[in-house]
Parts: sequence; structure tokens; C-alpha cells
Amino acid sequence: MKKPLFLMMAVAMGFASCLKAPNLDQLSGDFVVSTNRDQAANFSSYKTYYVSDTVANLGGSGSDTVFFDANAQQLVNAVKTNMNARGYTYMKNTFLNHPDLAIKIGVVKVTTTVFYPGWWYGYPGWWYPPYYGGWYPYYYPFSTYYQYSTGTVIVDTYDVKNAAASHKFDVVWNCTSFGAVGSSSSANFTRGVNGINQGYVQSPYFKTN
Amino acid sequence: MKKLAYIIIILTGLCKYAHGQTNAGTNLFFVGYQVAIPSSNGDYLSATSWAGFNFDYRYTIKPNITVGIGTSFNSFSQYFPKQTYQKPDGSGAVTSDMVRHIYTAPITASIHYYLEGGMLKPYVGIGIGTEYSEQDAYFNIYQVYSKNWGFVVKPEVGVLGKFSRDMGGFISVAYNYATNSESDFNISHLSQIPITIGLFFTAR
Repeated sequence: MKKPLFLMMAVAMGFASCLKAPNLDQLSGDFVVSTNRDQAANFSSYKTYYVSDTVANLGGSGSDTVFFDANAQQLVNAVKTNMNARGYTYMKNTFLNHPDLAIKIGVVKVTTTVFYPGWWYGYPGWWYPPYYGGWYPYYYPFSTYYQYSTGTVIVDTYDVKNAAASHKFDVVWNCTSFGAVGSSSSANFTRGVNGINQGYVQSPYFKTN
Repeated sequence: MKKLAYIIIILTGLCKYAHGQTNAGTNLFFVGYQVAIPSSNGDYLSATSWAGFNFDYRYTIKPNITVGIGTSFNSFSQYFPKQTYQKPDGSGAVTSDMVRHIYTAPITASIHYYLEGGMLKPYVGIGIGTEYSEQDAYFNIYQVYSKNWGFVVKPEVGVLGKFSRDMGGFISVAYNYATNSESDFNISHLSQIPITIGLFFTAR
């Protein structure tokens, strides 16, 4: 009587350990797009904007740098196209023309290295050593590692109009697009452009009237 | 559904040993393949789990009554195309497509009552216990993850028929209601209708 019960428990644990993983093939790989707004800001009170034609390259290794190549211009143009479509007027120079809003674009690329020390001890889902059944879990007998990169595109919109009165530049709208990126920088920047466009789509309140 | 009907007919045809009385003191071991239909998981997901398993141990205390313990495993997974989720306070929004996943493993103590039958023995039962569950949302390369335990109650109806002296087949339908909740996913409870088909073995 004990034997089948024990066997059944072993089978049950076997099934539990190879819990069916969900199929993630359908995921698009498009950036996740998150927007935040200052709920106190009145977006129709602003009429003009300025956007820097350089893109800040934040994080990564070494010092921060700026991008001003054709890829960076794709991001700048995406912002301009959306702002113009929402009724705002582009002003070429921040300081001479006093725009109501100033927009800064930043990108971050981070490469993460994942290292397996060669033994799955502590890896979730495996028990070590399995005291039942007398078999050992499948493992790599050598150490291994892999790398992946993530990218983030940040669009910050500052309130210049009320900066003098409040003595600070408030961020009234922020759009952050992020996700895994590949080795093709044009494909990565296309993801960024799509992210910016989606940011405006999900922010219908961001318009002059 | 048609396939299921054929399986039942085949099982019925094999049940030539159904008349054998199950005596008190007999152990019954059930192993089954389970399909589970979520009946309400908030609006988190509605997809059927096609990869479930069920294990039951029952001990005959009277010829028509068993007490036992049981467990089952189910994985529910559903793809949600790109949509925008508003933050509750209206301060922002997030857009992504995602795969939502629920894993459930109820563990119940149960009592079953068997009706007198010819070839087939219908039964009713109820299980009470605890349910372990994991809820995940996968988007891009990210995962939001929650795990929790809840109280579970599981009324069940089924039918079993013997193929030989110590082996038979069964099919059952249950309603599995668990109190597992996760406010971030808007899940107040997890309930499902598991349909199980499988084999049982008896041993003294």
C-alpha cells in the first residue's frame, strides 16, 4: 500500500517541478510605453515649445554623451510631429523666444550579463539533492553566461512658462518607453519612435485646446 | 466534445467488472488528465487550461463511502494584444501587449459517496483544503509576479467503472472555488470547472 502512494507523490512532484511555462512567442517585443502627467498642469495654457535637437545618452559605461546623428533626429522629429499635430508651435531657440514648454529627450542602453556558476543549486524549481527517486536534476556541468540589452527612451516636458513664478522647471509630462533591444541601432531607434508616438496616443489631454 | 463522448462510450464498454463490491479498507489511487475552464477570475483571463493533472488517494471506510486527499495542477495562459492601462489616480498610463498566466494547485481533503450502479458507479463528493496559486504577467522581457495561498472548496460529481479486479476508469466534473486574491491584478478569487478523465487502481 505504501509503494503506490509514494510513487504517486513522486509523480505529482515531478509534474509540479515541470510546471508548464507560458508560451511567450506571441509577445510583440514592442517597447512598453509609460506616460505620467502633472495633474495640476493645464495643457491648453501652453502654446509654444522647444525641443533640443540633441539626444542625451545617459548611463551605460563611461561618461554621458549626446547623440545628434540621423537616428537621434528620428526621435526629435517624432516629438515635433506629435507636438505640431496637437496644436503647439515650435520655437527655434529656447532663450530668445521664451517657449512655454521645453522638451528634452534621453536614451539609456544597459547591457546585462547573466552568469550561471555551473550548478543549478538554488535555481527556482529544482531541489537539490532530490532525496526521492534517486535521480539528479539536469544541469550544466560547466559555467555559462549570456547577455541582453535593454533600451529606454525618455521624453521629459518642462514647464518654462511658469518657471519664473515657481522658481523651478516642473516636468508636466513624461514618456518612458523601454524594453529589450537588439544589435541593429536603426531597429532600436524605430522602437523608440514608435514608443514616442504611442506616448502621445495614450495622452489625449496633451493638446492646445 | 465528440471525442469525449467516444472516450466515455469506450470506457463504458470496458466496464464488465463493475459489479464487484468495493470493501471497506480498500485504497484507491486516481490519476487523471484534467481540462479546467475558468469560471471567473475577474477579467484577468478566460482561457481554458489544457495541461492539467489530477491525483487522488481515497480510502474506503464503508462500501460506498471514501475519504481521501487530492491535488491537481493547472496552467492557464492567454495573450492580450496591445492595450493601454490607466493608472487608477489618472496620473498616467502604460501601454503594452502581454501574456497573462495563472497556475493553480489545490490540495484538498475529500469525502465521496458512491451510488449503487450497474456497469458504472456514479459518485458525489466534496473537497476542502488550500490552494496555491501563481499569477504572472509577461510583457517585453519583464514579468510581474504574485503568489498566494487561499481556502478552497471543491464539490464534485463523477462516475467510475472497473476494467478489472483492481483497475478502472473515471470521469468527473468539479467546481473549484478558491479565495486566492491579488488586488494588483484585480483578482478577488479564483474559480474553475475542472473536468477530469483518468484511471484508478485499487489495493488492499
